[in-house]
Amino acid sequence: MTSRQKKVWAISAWVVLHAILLSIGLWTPWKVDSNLYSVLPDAAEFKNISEAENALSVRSARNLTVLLGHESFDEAKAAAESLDSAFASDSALAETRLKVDESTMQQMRDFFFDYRYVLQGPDVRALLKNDDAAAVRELALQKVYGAFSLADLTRLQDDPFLLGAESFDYFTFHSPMMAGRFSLRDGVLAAEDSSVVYVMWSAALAEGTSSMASDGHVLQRLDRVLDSLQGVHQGLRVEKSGVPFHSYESSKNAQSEVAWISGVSVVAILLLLLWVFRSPIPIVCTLASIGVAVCAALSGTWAIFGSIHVFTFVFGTSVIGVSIDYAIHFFTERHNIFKGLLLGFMTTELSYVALTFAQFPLLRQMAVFSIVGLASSFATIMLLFPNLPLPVRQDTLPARLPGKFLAVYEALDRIVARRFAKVALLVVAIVALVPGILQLDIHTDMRSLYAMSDSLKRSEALNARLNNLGISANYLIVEGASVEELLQNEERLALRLESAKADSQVSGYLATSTYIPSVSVQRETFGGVQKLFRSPAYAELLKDLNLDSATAGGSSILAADTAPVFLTPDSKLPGSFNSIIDMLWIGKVGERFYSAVFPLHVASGFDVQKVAEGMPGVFAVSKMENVNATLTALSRLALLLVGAAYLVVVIVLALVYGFRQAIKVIRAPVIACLFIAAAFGYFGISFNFFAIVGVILTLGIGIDYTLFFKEGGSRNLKTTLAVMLSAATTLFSFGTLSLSSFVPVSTFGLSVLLGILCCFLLSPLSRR
Amino acid sequence: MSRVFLACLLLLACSAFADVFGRPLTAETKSALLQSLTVLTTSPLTVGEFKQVRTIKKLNREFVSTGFFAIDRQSGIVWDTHKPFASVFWVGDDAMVQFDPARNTKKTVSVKENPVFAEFSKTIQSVFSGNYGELERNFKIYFKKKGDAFTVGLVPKESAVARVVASIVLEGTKELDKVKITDGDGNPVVYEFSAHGHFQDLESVDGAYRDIAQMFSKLKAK
Repeated sequence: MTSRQKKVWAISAWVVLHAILLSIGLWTPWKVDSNLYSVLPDAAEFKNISEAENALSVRSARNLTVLLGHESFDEAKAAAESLDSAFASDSALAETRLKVDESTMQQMRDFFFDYRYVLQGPDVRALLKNDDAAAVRELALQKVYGAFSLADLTRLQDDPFLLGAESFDYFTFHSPMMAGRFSLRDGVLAAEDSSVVYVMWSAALAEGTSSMASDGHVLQRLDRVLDSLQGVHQGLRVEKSGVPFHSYESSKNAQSEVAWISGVSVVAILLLLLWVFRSPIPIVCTLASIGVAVCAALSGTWAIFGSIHVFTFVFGTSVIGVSIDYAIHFFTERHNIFKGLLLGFMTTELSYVALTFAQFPLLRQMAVFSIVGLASSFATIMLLFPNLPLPVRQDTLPARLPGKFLAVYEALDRIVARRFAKVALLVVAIVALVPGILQLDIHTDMRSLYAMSDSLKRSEALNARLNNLGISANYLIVEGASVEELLQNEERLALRLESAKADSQVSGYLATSTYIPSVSVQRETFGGVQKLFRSPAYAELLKDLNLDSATAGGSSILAADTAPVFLTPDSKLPGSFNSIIDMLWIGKVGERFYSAVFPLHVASGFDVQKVAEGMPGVFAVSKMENVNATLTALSRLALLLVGAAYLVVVIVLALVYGFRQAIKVIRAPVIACLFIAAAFGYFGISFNFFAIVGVILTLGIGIDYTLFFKEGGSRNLKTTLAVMLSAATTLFSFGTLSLSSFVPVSTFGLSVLLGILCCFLLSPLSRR
Repeated sequence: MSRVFLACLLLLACSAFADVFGRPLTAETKSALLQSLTVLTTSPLTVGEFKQVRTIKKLNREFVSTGFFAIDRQSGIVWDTHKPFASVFWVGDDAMVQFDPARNTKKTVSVKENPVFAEFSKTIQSVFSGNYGELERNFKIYFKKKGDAFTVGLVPKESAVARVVASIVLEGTKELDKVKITDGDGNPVVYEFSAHGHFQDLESVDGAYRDIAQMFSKLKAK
């Protein structure tokens, strides 16, 4: 094969390889997964629950509340009215709520009257079950003759036992939703706190409205209107609460941060490369290599997993880091780099291959993304770049700086000439790291990764205090093959929650079946009511109340052909009832039905997992705990697997260089990782998932430095320059991330910054 | 014939009550109102007999009950209904209790945990104990005075509340004699009070009111 044929073959191989990968990527629908549940291990039940949970959180994540507070109620109300009129017809909002419908009470009364034979609270159901008709009669008489009864007696003829009123009393006045401090005032909901009256205005984002910050976003406009209202109503307080505000604020901060962080690092890297190469060609080629590698990685991941998780993007930055390094090495040395690059490529890939053995889909996805991206980058350097006419002069490359850098190590070699002294120095350095490593807290807590702004924190606390609902972050999702099975599962769960309530573990709970019992319970209630009307207590009651037995309500329910009208989630519900069911009922997901049950005001020892234990169709959603535990386990496993991969790397390197030299090669990245761990330990920073991703990245990138030095020889200035440039670009790009206010990003950035810096400083020690 | 007579009596009574709503409270009449309310505010504990007449217009029916009441400025109000059915109702600052003496069972609602009941309890207590601040916060106030006789009209400021309780009228001279609560459908409940007795506290109650005082103490102790 001629040299020209070889070139054509190599370029064709590169083109075919990437064309296949990219066409797969274009053919597969692009899907980005931001669901935290995806980090959990594969299990069919989790997938279903995840979908149900998603449906629920998508709905609740659209709701937002603004409390407008003022010492004067009239001022607060006027501000709320102005706000409502500004947004009532805004297409970005599905609805706004300020005024309370005056007919609410009557709607509720009508509803409970209509369903009085099937819908009763537990007290009346127990009386019916025990055939205690006399007690039900006495309840009715108390309502008629007792003091301050709010019972509507206009339907006494139709409902002599006042079952509608009894049901209304139980569900309206005993509802946990009534526990809040908000009350009706002049047609709006208002609550007082520290001499300030707050008027509640709430809204829901329309389905097409994203929570992410953008120009002209409805929340930006809302802020402007609120600012102007604060100008008009002096002393007006504005307290915002709800997921959209958090998403908007974080994305707004992230956008401005990403803009300046990436701006600074890109400009710095470009200037550095331009100064070194004095030509735009290496820069354009490096950027192209990165672009192609990232596209290939995305395509490969999409093709294998169907979607890509946002966490994979974070890990995927390793592809960028390594691609830059490969390109820089190519443009600084061009020749005699094959062995170093190949070994670097193989050892890094081995680390990632090890991760694919994990049972965590996320870890496998991260590994595949990196494997494909790195392979693409390696192919570009090996197959494409050497065969393209890329005129880059190497005689103009700066030599003074790498020379000075190497001189420091040569001086060090002279000072610590004896092998014993070198080993002793190394041991002292490692021992110095031990106390830090011992203080290390390997733990991921997603809650600590999101730092809420003070104003949002204050608003959320005020809202929680005024609403006083105490919805737990850990809740339960109930599943059933049918609506009936689901509601029966809920009722079984409710028994457990009732006993938790009796033990003061919870103050109560919100469940659909409380308001819409299963047909089985409704049928039992209907049967009990029929027995009630057949009992002597009915005749006595008619006599007590002097009611006409011929026209009294009992005649209809006792008729042979009377069929109960059951209440279902599809029944027409009054507005205030509907808002509770909206919050709880998820509905059909796939082939099954789902609902959420929320424990309220949980005590510190309450364990939602324990409540769900052994209950078919009931799943505890301790989302944060699950995700945190999984990410912690994931981090430990990833470290173990990479550790195992490094053993294989040592074996491979030992075959190439011999055992002692192999240890010398891995020494720098391993010490760098210990250095990261020690630094996190000394500073008391949680060694979380994102820090460990940084460690893995250091192991992957750092070993290349030592290999390049090893292959480059003891006085190779071009190798030194290449490693210096690689380290500088990595430190610029990842180091600036450590300045981010978004904790996962800054932790990751700090970890890589410390690791790469340490590895870079130690890597010349491996040169021949 | 008797029904027509009863209706005429009712109309007369209603017109007397309705009259007060033509006289909103003014700065000039406020001091007279506060003076009249002292009837409700001076005694630490008022006990007496009541007659409750609940009228349901749609059914053209009246439901009458009688019993004893006690208004304690410290502990709230007890309504001890004797006829035609025995039941006890206590509205306190912390709880509302429905007691069934026949079965010795009681249903308690914690007022502190439920703002609706808290509001209800506060409103009832403000009406019967003449707490002007609370009345002024929740109601539009009307007032009429003729000699010793006074009439206070209360209309809820909250229109949604007015759909349940349209108005309250208090009538009195040296004592609170009558309270009429009309619901949103125009059905009135009239409370007539008689045989008032005033005491320092429950322990000092004697005579005919010992029973209700003991009942009150028992409920408080439970």
